[in-house]
Amino acid sequence: MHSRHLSRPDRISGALAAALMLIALAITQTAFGQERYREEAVKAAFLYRFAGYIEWPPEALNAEHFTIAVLGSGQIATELERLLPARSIKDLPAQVKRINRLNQLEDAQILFISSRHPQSTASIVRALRSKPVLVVTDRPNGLDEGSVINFLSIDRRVRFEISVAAAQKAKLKVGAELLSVAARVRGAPERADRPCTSFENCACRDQCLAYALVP
Amino acid sequence: MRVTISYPPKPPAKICRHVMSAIVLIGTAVSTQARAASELESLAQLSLEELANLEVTSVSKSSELLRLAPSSIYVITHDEILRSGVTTIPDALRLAPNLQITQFTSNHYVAGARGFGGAQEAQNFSNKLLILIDGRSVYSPLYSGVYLDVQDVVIEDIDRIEVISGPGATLWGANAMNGVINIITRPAYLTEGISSTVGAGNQERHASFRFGDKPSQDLAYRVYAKGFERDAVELADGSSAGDKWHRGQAGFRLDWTDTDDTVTAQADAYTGDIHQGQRNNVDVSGHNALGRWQRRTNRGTWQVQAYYDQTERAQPQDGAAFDLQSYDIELQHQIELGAAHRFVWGAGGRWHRYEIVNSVPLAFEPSQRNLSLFNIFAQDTIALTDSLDLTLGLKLEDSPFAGWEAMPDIRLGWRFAEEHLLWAAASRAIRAATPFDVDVVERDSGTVFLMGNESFDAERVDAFQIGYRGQVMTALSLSISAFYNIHEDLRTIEPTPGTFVPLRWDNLMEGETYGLEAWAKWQVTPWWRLSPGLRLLRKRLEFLPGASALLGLEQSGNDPRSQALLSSSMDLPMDLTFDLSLRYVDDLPEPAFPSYHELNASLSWRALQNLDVSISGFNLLDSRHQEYLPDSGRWIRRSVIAQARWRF
Repeated sequence: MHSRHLSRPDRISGALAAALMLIALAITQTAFGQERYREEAVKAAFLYRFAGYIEWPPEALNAEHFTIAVLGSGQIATELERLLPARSIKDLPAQVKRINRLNQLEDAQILFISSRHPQSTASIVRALRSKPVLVVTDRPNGLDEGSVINFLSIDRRVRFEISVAAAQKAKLKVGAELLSVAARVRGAPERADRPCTSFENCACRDQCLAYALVP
Repeated sequence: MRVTISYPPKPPAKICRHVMSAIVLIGTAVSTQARAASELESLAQLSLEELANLEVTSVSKSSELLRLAPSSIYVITHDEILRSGVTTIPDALRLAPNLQITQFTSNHYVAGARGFGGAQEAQNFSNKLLILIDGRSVYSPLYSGVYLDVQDVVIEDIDRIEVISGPGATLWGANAMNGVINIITRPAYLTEGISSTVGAGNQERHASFRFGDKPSQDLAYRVYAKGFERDAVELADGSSAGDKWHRGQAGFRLDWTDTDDTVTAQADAYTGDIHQGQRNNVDVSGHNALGRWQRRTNRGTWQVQAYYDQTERAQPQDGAAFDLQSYDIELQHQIELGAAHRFVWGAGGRWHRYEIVNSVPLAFEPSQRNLSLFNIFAQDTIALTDSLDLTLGLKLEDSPFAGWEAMPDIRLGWRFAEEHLLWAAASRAIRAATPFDVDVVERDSGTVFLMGNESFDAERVDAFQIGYRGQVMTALSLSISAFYNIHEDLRTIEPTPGTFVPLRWDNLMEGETYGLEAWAKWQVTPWWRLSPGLRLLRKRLEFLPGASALLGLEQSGNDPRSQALLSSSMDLPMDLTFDLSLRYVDDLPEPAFPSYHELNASLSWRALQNLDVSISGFNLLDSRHQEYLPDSGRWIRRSVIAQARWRF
């Protein structure tokens, strides 16, 4: 036990060296600049892009704005507020709307339920009663609870999964490219019907190989 | 069409701005705003595929648990585990600031929460913390506690480890007294392809191989095998402590989903050889299988889970052994009644059958038993207002030696502002009696010196907690909780009047413990996160009238009064990550043992799109250190390990 105390100066110098290393790394890093994107910003960008691959029934787009409603707020709402103004989605001026209750949803086309929102997704989806709203969640059992798109975190990347059945319930048509980028598709149409756009997408790897072999 | 995206090209102006901001001050509000805006601008130009291929930094994943039961919960994420370079579950548990992990020998670790980490000298184990792996309890019903040396999974298949400090008895039952640890692996559809990890260092070698496939849209599975060996640590004089160990394990997991159903089946089998220095070596082996079926209906979600677990430990030198088989089945139903009630109820049964081959010093009489447990529980979360939730729960459990016990729980969660939660809880939990408390007979040169007590009662706690959790600033999340526990019927050891031996277990200690747990995650810059954590604990225990006070109050556990953790996590250029974790453990009060500091560091490099290499060092500050008294604690040497993980 005595040697523990004798080695104290060693430990202090070790800690000092570690601190110096940290500072050195911090300086280097700052000079190189940041290489990774913030998760919330990437999710906000996804929310902005999803609409391009989803077909709403015409009456749902008969509105003054294309609205992404955010239930439970959070950082993603802040990112959307920075991103959406001056952009348009489906030829409508895009806007984001923070809401606390479902009855504030009005004619929003996308509903993002923040992971901080306390109410369960299942009860929200039930309350929507098949209204044509694209419900997007960010929680481990999102699809189980009835959302159409759920964010996943895989290998430091933001990915997403889609429930085709939930989309059909909400009278939404999901474009093939969205399905092909999804990490996982639930209740998908037969594989043969699915067009293939990406070799990376494991779900249609066999098919893609076939495409590659027969140009 | 192969799409390989690293990062969109950065305009030179952006680099200039970063250099500027470095010169001025890191993270001033203005530059942060500007950077965020330009970042969004470039993100909005990307295709879905490009977005899906970007590496991201996340401030904190734990935020999603804000909506869960108000409790002191820390989530060790998949990323934290991989970045830290840890190779075993107990080493991964060190990442949680609300746990106390003590490494005694090369293979013997003890995990505790909120004190009562056990006192080896008094044969008192850390028995108030429940551990589950994918819903399967690994708490030993024989002696109460967890054999951490046989609990393993493929490290990179861990999705997260949820560490709840404080009682979780309403949902998890007896022994979830001071905490619950849920080790959760990824579903098979997230572990497709081949992944292989090899590691070699100055003290251990390991290799694992996993193959995952998705034969159809709804079905995915993986199979794995891994092997691990670690060298012995040292005795005070520098000689080997003779506690090397090795272990092999293999298993599979299968997940099937359709619109309304989710089915999981998984199984593992392991074998190993654990050396214990002067004490006998132990051959360990076991296997388990679990099935879970979840069905979503218009009337809520139903879940049925069943598992079988067999585990055995044998000491070839003296023939002592045990073989334990457990069967468990449980049903759960979650339903929302109106807009205000989230209701969950369930029932379960567990059967254990064990056979012990007694040795001369340690015997159980009877040496075989069948134990059965039944429980029913219900919990209602009531939305009193938009921001105020009240949770009422009750579990009734019939355990083998205690009979029916009620474990009620009441919690209040108040989201007083967006992203800020205040919560309070009052709960009762127990540590159930086990054969070690009731049946044990220990002999020393023919004389019985310790006997179990058939009227031994469960140990009880009434726990009161209050806490805050929230996002204090965009870059800073914070969790603080304070607890006050009233303990009753704590185990003591009592001599026989007149003859002194045999000693018997009894329940003649009580008292209170209180303390504080706090941790924060501060995203200093987008690429650098600092995570400090602190635990404080005070114990005020006393013997009841009639107690002998033999072995003193310290037999309840020799727990440090404070512990601090500081972790730094950096994303560096050229696909490097660098993580540091500094821990401080205060001195142990009784018997006294000095405090210690240690540092772990890990540098990892994504050498290729599918190859990660890392070098990690553990306990770097000293050439060797000790975490517990020399009678059971050994000298743990500084260790370094290089690892490579390859995926395709």
